[in-house]
Amino acid sequence: MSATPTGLRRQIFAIAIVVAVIGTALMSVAVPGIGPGLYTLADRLGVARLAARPSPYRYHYTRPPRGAITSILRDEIAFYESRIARTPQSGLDRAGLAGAYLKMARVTGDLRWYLLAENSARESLANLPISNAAATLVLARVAEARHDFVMAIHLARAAGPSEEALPVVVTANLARGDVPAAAQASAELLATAPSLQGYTLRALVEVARGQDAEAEHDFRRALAMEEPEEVASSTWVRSLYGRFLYQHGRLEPARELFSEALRILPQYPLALTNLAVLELRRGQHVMAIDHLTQIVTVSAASPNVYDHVVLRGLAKAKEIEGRRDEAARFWADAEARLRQDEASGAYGHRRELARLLLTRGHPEDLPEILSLLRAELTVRTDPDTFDTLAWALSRAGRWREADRAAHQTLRWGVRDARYFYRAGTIAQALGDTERAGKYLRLMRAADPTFDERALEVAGIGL
Amino acid sequence: MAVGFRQHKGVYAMVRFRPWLSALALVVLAAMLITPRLLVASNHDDGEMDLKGRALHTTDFFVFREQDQNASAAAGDLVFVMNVNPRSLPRQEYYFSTGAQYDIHVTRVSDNNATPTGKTDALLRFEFAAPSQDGSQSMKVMAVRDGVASTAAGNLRTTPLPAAGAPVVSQATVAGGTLSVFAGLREDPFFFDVEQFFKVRAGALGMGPKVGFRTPGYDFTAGYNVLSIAVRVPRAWLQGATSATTFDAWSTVTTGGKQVARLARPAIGEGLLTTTAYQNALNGIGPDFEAAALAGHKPEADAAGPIVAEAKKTLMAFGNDDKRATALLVAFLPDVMRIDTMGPSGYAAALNAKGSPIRGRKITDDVIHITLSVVTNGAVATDNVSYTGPNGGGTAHKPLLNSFPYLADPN
Repeated sequence: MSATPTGLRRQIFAIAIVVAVIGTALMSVAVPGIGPGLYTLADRLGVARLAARPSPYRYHYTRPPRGAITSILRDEIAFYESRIARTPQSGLDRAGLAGAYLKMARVTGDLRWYLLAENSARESLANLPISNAAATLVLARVAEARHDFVMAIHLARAAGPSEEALPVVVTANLARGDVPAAAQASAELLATAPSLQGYTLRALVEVARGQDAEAEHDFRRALAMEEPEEVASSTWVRSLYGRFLYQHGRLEPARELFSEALRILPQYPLALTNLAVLELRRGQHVMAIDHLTQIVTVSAASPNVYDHVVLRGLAKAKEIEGRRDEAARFWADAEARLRQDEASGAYGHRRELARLLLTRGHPEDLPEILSLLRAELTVRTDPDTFDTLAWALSRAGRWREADRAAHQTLRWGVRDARYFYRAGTIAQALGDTERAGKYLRLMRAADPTFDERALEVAGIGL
Repeated sequence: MAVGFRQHKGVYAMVRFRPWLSALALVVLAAMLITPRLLVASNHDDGEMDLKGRALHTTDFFVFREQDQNASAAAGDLVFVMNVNPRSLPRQEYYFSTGAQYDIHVTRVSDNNATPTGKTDALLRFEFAAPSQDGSQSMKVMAVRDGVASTAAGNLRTTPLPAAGAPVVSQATVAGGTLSVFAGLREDPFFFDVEQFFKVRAGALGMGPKVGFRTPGYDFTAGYNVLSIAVRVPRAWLQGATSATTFDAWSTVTTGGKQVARLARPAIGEGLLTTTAYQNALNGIGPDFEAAALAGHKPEADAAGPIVAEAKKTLMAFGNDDKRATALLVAFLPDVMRIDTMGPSGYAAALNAKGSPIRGRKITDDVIHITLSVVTNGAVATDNVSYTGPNGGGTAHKPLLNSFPYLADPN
């Protein structure tokens, strides 16, 4: 079959693109420190692009070699174990071991490390009940991981106003929806010592208050304060800053930040998750799937913090891809996983389960959804939880209650297009077109690119 | 043995998406469903935990006549040592902060019995750049003496861990004097049964059962490293145009325009204060603030009141009456390390009329033994830990080097 001149040009152009892509990929493989298999082709192209021009988000220190982080933690665990073998009644060494376990839990996402950390911290406090802030803080972190925010705050406050304790007070209060308390703790933290962590956490408080210009300024200050050994914090701040930009429709700089975070730590789950969300919004489901599957843990014996995130993300990607059967299987897997958490007797991912059920859209699920959210609101009154409640109540046609929930979502001033959209649709349903119009304008101001795809991706709440 | 971890080795694996992923995920999920759920875990914005502590925390400060450490050293030189980043783990590289100023402050003193003023007559400042591939950091050494600032020329660098066996000593010429400077990881020379001290203090304060120290005591700092800045300074340079032979010294760390750490004598803040906020407050001020507070000046006196009250409460819990507790506070505050260079150095080598140590501190001085004896009015003489050991668990510190910077090689 002969090609038309236009078709021929297209084929030549397509071949040229393929050659350019393969060539760039081969070159990027040759970049020291970027081993094959670490990045997808798209990632490599992203890295090459970042390397080619100066970026305000660039990490200027040497990146840790692959495996260095867990290797350091293995050594740290072995170090404390040897000390405990010498002094079995030590409280401080057990607190050190608990801290090492906790770091390992956060690096790997493996839930069993949290249990080891908790047990070790309790043993430490049994041996040394006073002047043992380190062990108390490990318990605070574990409580926060369990979404027991009240206990986390109580323990962190008991440990004293230190650089290690105050971040827990900030983030647990943000999760509870107590923005003034979070603001106070972030001010205390920065008064203790200016730091990357302090500025990042203040930025999160400012985001919660709708002080977006101040938040962006603080994200930048945080980046300016990074230190060579704080790789986890360096990736953390880039992930959160990128998410902030994403939520305001600034997708390209957001992508740059996520990519830079992954250049520092290639498997950092928060960056991978956010980058996957961004790609889903761009309709790049293959790339999203690639990012998500990099944080899958293929081990029956290693339940992971991020399992449900990956499963929900894959379900949405398959849905966008049009593979409904596969999507349904992933939704079912995610649901089973979340129900298992919910049945564990701890605090579980009730909100995530409610969102999943809302996304599925079966009317018969509504009573359960509302029950889940009522339970969640006893521990968590942040904007996301109220927004999910507003969504559920809208679905139930209980518009007045939905309106009150939307009002609660926005009560501290957060400027997020998703929330404005929800509030606008509820006002519209109530016939209040003036207020609906106001919310629509606020939505466009918060994120001028907010569209149906953005709304759809936001629904899964990754 | 690293409990649990080795069982995991080789199990974690990154997978890339393949058509069979769906099936694999189902298998994984099915397996997970029969695994007991131990915890749910976080997906919110909790602050990240870095692997290592920030190098902004001071942990020790020494100043001594070099000849008292090394008889063959030149007369007239003083050695200052500022240790930061406590609990650095063995065989791991650590770096000085690239955004901080590490300062050693010196006041000339005309009368050994005078109350410290906290006025800085000479300042030595150390700043560090990002690490190179070999792990060393470029170092900027600055001095301000009598208001005149100067910066040492040349490529001064820290000693990275792999080269720790041959410490790099740089010569830094500042304001008409030449200083010798070392910066890098060394073994933590401090020795103290910290954990038992916490229990003893709690017992004295009625916060726990009354207990004494263990025999032998367990040296908590054994096996750890610290980041050290050691600097050899000619006394003549400190004197400037004066004839001062006694000096007050203290160290600070400043970052982002805020002083975040201060240290002079050992175990003052940590030993006498139990409230973290008070310890933080002391880290943010200088001895000049303490001098003003002790003199009753406002607002310093009001701000320091609760802190002094807590320190006094601890002193009284250790068996001191009100009068002696007050006298001890006057002896130890304002917190500076005073060194009279006309006599041999050593933490208990001489006291002034207020009972303040005035002969600096050498690296192996048993400062805890001395401090415990003083603050308990002789009731507790020692924590039963020594530099050379063997301490509980058979630990001991490495021998010091024979020459500058003297600090033992890192673990």
